Formats: sequence, structure tokens, C-alpha cells
Amino acid sequence: MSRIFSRQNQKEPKTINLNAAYTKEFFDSDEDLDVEDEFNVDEFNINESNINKENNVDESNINKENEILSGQLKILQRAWLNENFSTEILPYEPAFERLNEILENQNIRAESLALSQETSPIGMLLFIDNERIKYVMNRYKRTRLAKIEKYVCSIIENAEYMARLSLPEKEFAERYKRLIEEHEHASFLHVLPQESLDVLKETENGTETSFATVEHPDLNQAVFCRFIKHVGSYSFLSTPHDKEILSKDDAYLVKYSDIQKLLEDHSIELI
Amino acid sequence: MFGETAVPLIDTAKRTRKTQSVSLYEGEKVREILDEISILQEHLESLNDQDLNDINSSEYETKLLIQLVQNHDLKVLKLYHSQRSEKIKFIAIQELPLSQEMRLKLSERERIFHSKYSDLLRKYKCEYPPSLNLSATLVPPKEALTAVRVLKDIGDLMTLNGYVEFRKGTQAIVRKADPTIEKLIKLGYLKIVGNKESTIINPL
Amino acid sequence: MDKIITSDTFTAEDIKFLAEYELITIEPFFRADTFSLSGIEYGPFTPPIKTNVPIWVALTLKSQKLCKIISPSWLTVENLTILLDSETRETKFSAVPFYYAEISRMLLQSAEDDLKSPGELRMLLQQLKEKRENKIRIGLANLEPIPHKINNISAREIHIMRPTFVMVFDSLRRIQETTLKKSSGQNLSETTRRTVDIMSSQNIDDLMDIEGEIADYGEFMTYD
Repeated sequence: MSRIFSRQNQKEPKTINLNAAYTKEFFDSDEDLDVEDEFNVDEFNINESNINKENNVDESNINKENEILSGQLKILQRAWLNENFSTEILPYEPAFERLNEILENQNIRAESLALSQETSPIGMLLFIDNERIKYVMNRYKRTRLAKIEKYVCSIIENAEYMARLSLPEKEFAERYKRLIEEHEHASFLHVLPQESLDVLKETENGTETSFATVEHPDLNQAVFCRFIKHVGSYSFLSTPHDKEILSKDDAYLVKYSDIQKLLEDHSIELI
Repeated sequence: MFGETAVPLIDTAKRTRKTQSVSLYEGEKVREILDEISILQEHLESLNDQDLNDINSSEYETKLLIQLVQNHDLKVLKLYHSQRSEKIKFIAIQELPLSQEMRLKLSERERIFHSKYSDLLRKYKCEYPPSLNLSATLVPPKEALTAVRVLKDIGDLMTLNGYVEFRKGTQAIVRKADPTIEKLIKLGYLKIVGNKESTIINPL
Repeated sequence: MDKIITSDTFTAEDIKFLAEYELITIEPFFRADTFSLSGIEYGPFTPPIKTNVPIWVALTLKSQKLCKIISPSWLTVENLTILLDSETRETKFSAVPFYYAEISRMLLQSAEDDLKSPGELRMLLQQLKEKRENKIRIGLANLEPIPHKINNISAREIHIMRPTFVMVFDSLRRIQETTLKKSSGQNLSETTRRTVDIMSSQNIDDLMDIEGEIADYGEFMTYD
């Protein structure tokens, strides 16, 4: 088992590339369990190279991967917040899959971190960094899941919303809807005569007193946003006669429906 | 007065809204609201039986009112149940079983809901990246390792750092992000004892 | 309290998490070559050469006494005094970093010995915070119409005020809607009106909104 702090070339500044991978897979394999022989390493001045065959990956490849990683992480962070602060479900962000791919690639290539290295300062930083990436990924997914649950009926009824879900999310939404309907039916709806439910459904159209079966995202909710691009002269939907000059870093409190389009074309982020 | 039957359930919903604990399922109150809806339904039908042309404005108003109350009642029922299922879901997503105390407070249907929702999550997790833990506690990561005290005997256990023996009263240093460890903490087998990094990390 | 934490609640901890990605200058006490975190290279670390790292890295190293943190240029008594002054004179928010509250709090908590006159900094930050929150309250009380420009508002301020803002604008809308409803129901009988009143006094619409969380003020409220 090689150490992560290996270097490709003694003369080059060394790059430790391990945003990877302290996952079960690694620890499940037999040889990796005996970490003891790694313990007496001078943890800090990690000069010696201990090159693993698999670590001989093209340097430029690693650089490229690094670039993608930092870019995609930024995108996913933003997607997490946008998802969190908008009431409607947003298009599934492919950055999640790309990040996951990178993490898994590095898993395969990179050696993982033994306990001894976790306790060295840089080893620890690498470990925390990895946990931070996973945290963002997890939060993104769970934010979406919670939203899908909350608006499950209106999402399933709306083809555009459905198209925004990943395949597993779609399956989850459909199963969850069935589960909730079954639960409500068994808990109380089954007692009611069908006619009374029918009557209630009839009144649903148009009136404010309708039977709230379906929770719809409130597109008029107030949201905080910040411009990440210069947009220039612009009129918000609800105030068509007012022209505003919108520059990068401007922050606004607006109705969500006013900035829906701007969010779509990535001119703003929700904050 | 119609419309007042729902008050007790609303009070419960308001009182327990911000807490994790679930109150005893108020089947009786649920029943009463359902009865109210049914009685109102009979009223409504007796009105419906009349010739439409005969209905004067006050009867029309009564009809609207009945539907309004019925709507309200149903909304409350939905709210009451969905608030409870949110809490059940919160337990399920942490992969926790229902405690004995909790089981007694839930209705039969709610216990079924817990197990079905857990199944649903399990299915979803099959498609989830194996390096991520959907059930992880949603607290930003701070330090890599943490010291835990063992509160109940567990014995030898495979953790991300290999086998660790957890004997009651001892302490161990473990990875905080280890799903096994997280679960044992949630279940009360382990307790985090201060996470002073300086006590864990080898000095230079 | 056993408050429910569901995944759709964005907490003060999360703001701190995001703030920790901001860069800060450190003076390392150790030697190491460059290494990459989340795809970005940091280092090399050669004392006493200063270098930039994310705040979470700086704080982790600091906790191991492996570096000295260089106070950001805005977090000085001089600069805060200027900010406070402009906060007092102008109706607009003064230009503070988006995560100023979190960053200053983290540094005061974990790297106090690296800051000049921390006591004074705390006092100035507290005053700045109060002035700014007061501005927000006035804006809210005036029910300024939206879209409303709020440049230089900070993450923490948004977090604390969000539930109130959302609630105020929501209720405004609801009031408008009910005014419409009421005017159309003027001919209703006494019984109907009383029943409607009973039901609306039960306020279930507020309960429907699980997201209507009260912001966790908690420890973020003060600078000590």
C-alpha cells in the first residue's frame, strides 16, 4: 500500500492529490487493514516517494481533473442553495454526477488514508476536505428529496417538473406519492363516503376554499438573490415600467416569479 | 358550532410543531371530525335532493358553508397526519427503528408507514453513490476524528478503521463520518466526549 | 430543545460552512509542498512566507498551533470604525464582506491571539451589527415594495430576517386576497360569518408551511 504523499518527480513541487476516498470499498479489502506498518512515517516532511503504479497517472490528467473538481463543486454548492431557497423544483444539476465520477475515479486510483495519516495535519486536511465535498453532495440530494416529498403531487402532475428529476428521483416521487395516498386513505379518507370526497373535489376548481389535496410551490414567494453576471438594463415582470441596471454582485429581495428566468440562465444565485 | 370540532387537533399540531417528539395518536378526535364531515354530507344531500330551481339564496349559502367546513375539516386531518408523518420520516431517514415509547404513540397505520417509508428509502439508496451516506447527520463536517465513550457493550466491530473493540466504559477514537459510528451514536451506544482536535492529533 | 432538523432547513451552521471556503492569509510554522483541496492547489508552506488557504484550513492548522492567521484587511479597528461611521450616516448598507459576521466570529473565537485589540473589535462589530439590523427593521416597517435592492446585505442578516420578510410579504398578499373575499361575501348571514371567523381564527395556513422555520438566532447573536 502506498502513501498518498507520493510524488511524481522529485524536482517538481509535489502535489498531493487526494480528494478521494476513504470509503468502505477501500477498507473492505483485506490488505488495507494492516495499516500498522505505516505508522512510523515522518508525517510532515513527506519527501520520499513511494510511487504506486496506479499513481503514475499523467500529471496533466490530474490537473484537468482538479480543474473540473473545483469548478463542479462550486456549481453544486450554488445549486444546493438555489434549490434550498426556491419553492419550485429546479433542473437536476449534472455537476453531482461529475463530482461523483471524479471521487470514484480517485478512489480507484488513489490509495486511501490510513489512520496514521489522518492524524497528520495534511492528511487530516485532505480527509476533512473530502468530507466537505460529500457534505455538499449529500445536502444537495436531500434538499431535493425533501422538496420532491413536499410537492410530490404537483411535481408528478407537471411534465416540466418531472423532466427536471433524475431517474431515481422520478421513481422515488412516484413511489412516495403512492405511499402517502395509501397512508391517508388508510388513516382517515376511507371512512368518508365517496360522494363527499367527490363533492369536495368538484369545488376544487377556481375557489380559494378548495380542498387542499395538492400543495403547489408558491412562485410569488419573496426570495433573496444576487447577480453573478452583469445583466444591464432590465425590467422585472411585476414592475414592467421600471428599468433597473443590474450589475454583478447586486442583491435584491424579489418575488420568485420575477427572477425565474434569470435563475434559469444562471445570471443570479439565490442567497 | 360546526368548524370547532377540529380545534383540538389544531392545538396539538401547533404545540408539537417544532419538536421531534410525537404525541399520542388522537384517534378519537380524528373520528369526531370524520363524523362531522359525514353529518354535513347528509345535510348537503338533503339539500341536493331539492329541485335546483327551488333553492333560494340562503340555501345556496348553507350549501357553500357546509362545503367550506368540510374542506376545513379535511385540511386539518391532512395537516395533523402529515405533521406526524414528517416526524416518522425523520426517524426513518436516520435509519433508526421506532422506540418502544414511540410505537405506543403511533397508530397502527403509522407504524406501517414507518416501515414502508424505510423500504422506499432503501430502494432509493440502491441508486445512491456508495461513497455517500444519505442518512448522514446533516451537520457540516468539522474534524476528521472524534473520541467516543462506549455506553453499552458492543464487542468487536468493523469500522472504517478496521476492527475496534467497544467495551462498556472505554473510550475509542473513531472517524466521525463513519456510518456505523454515526448510527451507534444515534442509538445511544456511543457518546462523543469532546472533540478537541489537539487531544487526538499527533503533535509535530 | 428537540427541534426538528430536516434537510430543507438551512442552518446558521451551513452559513458558517460556506463562509469557511473564503480565503485567508496565514503564516505557516511548518514546511510542506503544495497539496490540493477540492481541486485547488495550496502552498508550498515555508515559514515565514505567507500564503492563502481557505478559512477552515487556517482554523484547523491554528488549532494545532501550526500557523498564525493574518487578520483580513477589513477586520481592523480602523476599518470597522470607518464602516460604522458610514453605516450611521448613509441609508444604504456599508460594504462589508458577505460573510463578515461568520468570519469575524470564527476568528475572534479561535484565533483571538492573532488579532489586534480583539476587545475593541468585538465592541465595534456588535455596534455595526445593531446598526445594520436596525436598518433592516426600518425597511421592513416601511413595507418597501419589492423588487427591492439591498446591496451589501450579509449572509447572516438574510438568514435572520428571511422568515420575517417572507412572512410579511406573504401576509400582505393574503390580506389583499381576503379583502377581496370579504367584499364578495357581504351578504352572508350571521351564522355563516361566525363559522368563517371561527375557521379563519384557527390559522391553519400558517401551520401548513413546514418551512416557516424561525431562524436559529442562537450563538450567532453576539460576539463573545
